[in-house]
Amino acid sequence: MTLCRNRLELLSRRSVLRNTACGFGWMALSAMLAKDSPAQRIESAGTQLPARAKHVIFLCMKGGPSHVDTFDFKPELEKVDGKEGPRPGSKWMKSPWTFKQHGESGLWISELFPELSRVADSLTIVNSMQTDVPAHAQATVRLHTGNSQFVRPSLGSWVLYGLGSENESLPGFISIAPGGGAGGAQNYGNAFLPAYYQGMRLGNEGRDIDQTQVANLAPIVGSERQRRELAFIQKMNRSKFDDDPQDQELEGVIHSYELAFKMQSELPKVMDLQSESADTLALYGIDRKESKNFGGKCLLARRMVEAGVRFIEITHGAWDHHANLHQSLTRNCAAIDRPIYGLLSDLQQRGLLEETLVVWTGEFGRTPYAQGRDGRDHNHKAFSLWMAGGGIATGKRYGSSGDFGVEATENPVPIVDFHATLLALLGLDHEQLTFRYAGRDFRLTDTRGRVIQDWIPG
Amino acid sequence: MQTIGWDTKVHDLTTLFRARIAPPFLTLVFLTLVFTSPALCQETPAPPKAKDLQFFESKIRPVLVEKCFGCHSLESGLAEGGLRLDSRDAILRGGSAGPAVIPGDIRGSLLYRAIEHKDSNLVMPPADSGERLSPEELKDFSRWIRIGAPDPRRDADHLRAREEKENSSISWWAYQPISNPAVPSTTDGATKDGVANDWAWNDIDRFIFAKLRDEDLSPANDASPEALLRRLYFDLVGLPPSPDELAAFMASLQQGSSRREAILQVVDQLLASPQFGVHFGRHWLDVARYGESTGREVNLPYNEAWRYRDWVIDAFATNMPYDRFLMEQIAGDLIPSEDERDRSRQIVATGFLAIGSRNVNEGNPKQFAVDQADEQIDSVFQATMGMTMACARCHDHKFEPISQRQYTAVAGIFLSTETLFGVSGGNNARNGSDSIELDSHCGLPVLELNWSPEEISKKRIELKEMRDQILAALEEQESIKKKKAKANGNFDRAKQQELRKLSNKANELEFQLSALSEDGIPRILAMGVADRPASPANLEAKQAKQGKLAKYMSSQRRMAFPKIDDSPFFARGEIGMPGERVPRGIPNLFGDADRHAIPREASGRLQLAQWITSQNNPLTSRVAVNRIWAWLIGRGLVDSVDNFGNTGGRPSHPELLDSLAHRFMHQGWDMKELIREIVTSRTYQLSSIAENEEAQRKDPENRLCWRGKGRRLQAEEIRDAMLMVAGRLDLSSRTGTTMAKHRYGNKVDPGLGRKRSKGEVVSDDVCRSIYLPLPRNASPEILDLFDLPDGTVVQGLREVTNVPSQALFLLNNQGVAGLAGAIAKRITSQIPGRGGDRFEARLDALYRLILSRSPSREEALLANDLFQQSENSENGWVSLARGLMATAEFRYLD
Repeated sequence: MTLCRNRLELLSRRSVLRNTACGFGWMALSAMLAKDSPAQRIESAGTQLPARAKHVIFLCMKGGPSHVDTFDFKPELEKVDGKEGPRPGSKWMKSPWTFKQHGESGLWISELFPELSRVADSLTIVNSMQTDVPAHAQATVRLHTGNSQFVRPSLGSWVLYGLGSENESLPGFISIAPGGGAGGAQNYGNAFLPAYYQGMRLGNEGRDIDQTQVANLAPIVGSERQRRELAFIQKMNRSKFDDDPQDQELEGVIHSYELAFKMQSELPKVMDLQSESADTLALYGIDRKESKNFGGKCLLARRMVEAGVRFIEITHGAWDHHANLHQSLTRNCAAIDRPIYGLLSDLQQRGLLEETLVVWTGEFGRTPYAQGRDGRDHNHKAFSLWMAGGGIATGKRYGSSGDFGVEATENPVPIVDFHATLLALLGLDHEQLTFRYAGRDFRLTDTRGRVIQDWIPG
Repeated sequence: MQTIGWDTKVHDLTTLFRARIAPPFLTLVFLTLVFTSPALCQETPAPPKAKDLQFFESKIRPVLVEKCFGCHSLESGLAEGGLRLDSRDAILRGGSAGPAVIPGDIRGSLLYRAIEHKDSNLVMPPADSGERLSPEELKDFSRWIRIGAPDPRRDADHLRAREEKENSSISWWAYQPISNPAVPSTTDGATKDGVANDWAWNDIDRFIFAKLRDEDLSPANDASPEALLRRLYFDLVGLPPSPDELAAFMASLQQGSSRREAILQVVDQLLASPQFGVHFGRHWLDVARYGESTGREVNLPYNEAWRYRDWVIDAFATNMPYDRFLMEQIAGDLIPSEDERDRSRQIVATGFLAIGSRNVNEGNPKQFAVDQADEQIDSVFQATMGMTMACARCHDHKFEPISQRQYTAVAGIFLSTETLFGVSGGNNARNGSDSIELDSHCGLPVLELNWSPEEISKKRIELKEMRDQILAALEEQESIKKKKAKANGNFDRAKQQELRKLSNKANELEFQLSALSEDGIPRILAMGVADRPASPANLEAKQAKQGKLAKYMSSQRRMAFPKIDDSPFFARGEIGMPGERVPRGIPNLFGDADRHAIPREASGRLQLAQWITSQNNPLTSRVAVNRIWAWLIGRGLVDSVDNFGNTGGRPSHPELLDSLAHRFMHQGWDMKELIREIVTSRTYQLSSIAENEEAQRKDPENRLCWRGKGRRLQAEEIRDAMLMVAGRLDLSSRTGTTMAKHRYGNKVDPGLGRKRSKGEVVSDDVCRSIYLPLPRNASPEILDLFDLPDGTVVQGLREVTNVPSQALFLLNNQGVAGLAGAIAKRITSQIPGRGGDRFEARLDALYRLILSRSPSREEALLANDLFQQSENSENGWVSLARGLMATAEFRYLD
């Protein structure tokens, strides 16, 4: 922090946040303001919740994975297989895969996840998720921003805004391989929050891990020459700043060169998976063709957490199984099973799981009745997600989608409640984390949202 | 403690204990509260005595209002620390730290502790405000608490007061008629620093000066001539002055021209330049949320958006009167025109209503139509009047005098309008749209498509075959359905998918071919709007054309709102809950709605446009003047340039705003004249450096315009300036864009907007940036990096960010390096030869080229250091060129 205390009073919250790049969030701001004003201190003390998680790894399965074939066991569905379903002309379809109970918790998980099942006891599985519309784009945007009707900041931006960054050499919110479409950049966009809270895109959906890169990161001149140029630029900038020390934006420019310079060396280090041992690569399934790319991205995420990145999202595409469910779901699960097991157990071994919340979810689920012979249609009334680490309950199942998985029947969870709880795990009160824009205070959860205490032990 | 008071306290306590930081004093306070305070019991208190209430009214209420309400009242909209002090209920409930006052318990009352200023952790009013209550006032508060904090104010009263306020939201300043204030007198007095009133150059300055003098402040010094010239060039044409132009300006000053004369000369020359239209046109494109694709979920290209872009550039270049400018954009198709050419241009102008982002993948056509109308209402009202009309879609406006019913009356206008945005239909775009074909002799440019006649006939045959296949498949489907009437009658899934694919392809092909006439000649197509048919006869004719293919060929889809009609009142804005229809109409904000009554056979867009540009409308002129002021001065007289409503700001200089708005409106809505007046004011040319410490302390945000406001160049200016100094910029205009020329159907090619790796975007087409392809979410890297708006909402002023990716771009991008190389060559060939004196001459030329000034002695030394350490002279010049383009000074105007 290079801000002088006595200048502070001149600044609006927005300009502070915009111009002081790294390490700076709403919570830090509240705390800092509190130094000057005891009333503010009271406010921030009263609104902070106990933080359990410091980082989030958000695994987004784009397209809507079938819950009844993965994490929502439906023995009743087997009994009615092939019989007339709830919609006229529809037929129930049992899962082609068997489920087993795992760990001490006895959580039911499909055989599609043999590796992940080994760490079942660290999961909280939610079987009663719901969203508003069974359309990919709207549901994806709602999952990420809480609202599909208007352009709003994404979850990651809110988290970074709330907590600030831990590493001054890296961006605090990185979205690995996001897709175009389905809202595109909106899903990691800052909307009206200052641009600093925008997610940095790394690579594109469907690209190999080798093509997952940042633009203009590699110096095009030798390091000595760049250092000279940078020294020249910054001396010019500082002398201008000395002429007009009131100019906050100039300070922002100077800071941006500092971070850029550090990123050049820091980010490639984070990106360098080759420095990992063969054992680690194997742990993440990078040694296997089917899981190499997702494994690489998971490993990147762990390295980013270690480096202090606050929010990392990894997108995995093509879960929209209207047809060819059998083949496609098998292939998708094989691509992510080992990597996710690797990620969870690696985080655990390194003592990072306690402070890292890992979320696995799609934008909605699928129907327990068939579409065609080998497919399932969209279902927004019930889907499943799971979370691990970051202070979430362990070995827990929450909610139910009834006997068949058509609709959440017990403890239905709307997206806003999921958001509110995720923020709470990070120590952020979703009702207090606001940003003033266009004349009113906006929140991620808008006017709703309820923290689900059952997910947070004691 | 057996009453409900207990529960609330327990809850508060848990919150407190869960908090990560629980300052010990707070905990103490709470324990005190819970276990000792008698006031928490919920017994009904005896009504306060009249004399106690009198005491409150005379001693306590005034202090609360004056010292506390700024941060703790509904009136201010603030409740710092969750605490409001404007009702007894609120005070007893308290904030996040607990009740502010415990009646009868002075020590336990946080409010008292705060105003006492004895506990350094709790000081109110805040220490930095320099205010504190007098000993008498403290005594009053102590007595007030002791006698039980009598206070007649109840929350309900406040809520009622607020409601009344909302009902009277029409009393907000921006809704009042525009006055014509007298220009402040120029005969009395200087500022206390002795700046005399002949400081003023024009009426703007007289308003600014008068206010500064009232506040005991003086204007800053004038900017240096170099800084001023650079400012004028960028502000008016978006480009830096060339070294020759700089030299000529300096020479004219030396030869005895007054500063003012020299400025006038430059200004006239710049306003007459075609580049003025390019630069100011881009400002309006921000307001018009311009983008070359649908954005949102599936992001399909708009192949004709560029015609609207060119229309805007032209309107500024030819100084179209602003009322006409708005009129054509909202109702150009409905107003008379001289000839076919004018008529076509007016239709292009209505592209304003068509270029917004939209979710073409929306499954429900009705939803799509009302969303589209909403987007248009939002854009029209914000762009022209600074009103957030769209907030009233689902409920009465919370802040403005706009009911949901009034919104619905306006929505009917747009639902009666067909929007033709020229996007290929199909599965990804369930809501495709035709373009508007303009008269082939209208004289507007034709976008050539490089298809040979053979290709064209091949495509046509292909399309016919596809349609036949679709029809055949449909017949097959029918017969299968009949056969299996009782069994599971689903069409085979594989075939269904095949049919979808086919229909997608056919749609795309049909769309591509629609760019050509029967004879294979490119049609002149545009985006825009037209009134829907009024009579059922037209409607039937239209629907008769729709055949079996309707489900599969987007061009033959049925429309959700086929004719001119009033909109149903949708409860909570939900299309599933339509109520009675609300007659189309203009909001009666200014008592003149009856003068703009909408005929039954018309959509009402014309009446809306007339109302917006009427001299009775106090918003339009104010909003326009304020936008132009903000583009030139760096911030608006009203800060919230897109929001003049009750949640927006108040003008820093209301008289100046009205004076400008009044003249603007009554003297022909002349934009160039207004711009000329602003940039030839003395106020405009003040130095931006905050040297005057007193002024900086009193008015750090420069609301009073005591100094100039430096600004960051916009993305386009940065790219154009880099190309210009490298001698690469091509100033000529472009027909269409690279993207439009491809006439893509179902996709935005991400490669077009965003060539990331090699930096081609800087240099592959060296046109001015406004002519680059601008698909939403895939705009050129350099523009994205420097805060190009995403074109989803009206944005009168751009965000400015300073992020590392910009720095990385300037340091490491190949395109930038190429330009630095070109600059280095330019400098060395301009001043040929070898030897030490050459260095100084070249360095001087380099600084003048890139920063429009000569280097200082220190800078020359600094540059020399960098140059001497370089491997060779070429590298040295490239490093210096890149370095100077990367400095903050290059992208910030002083």
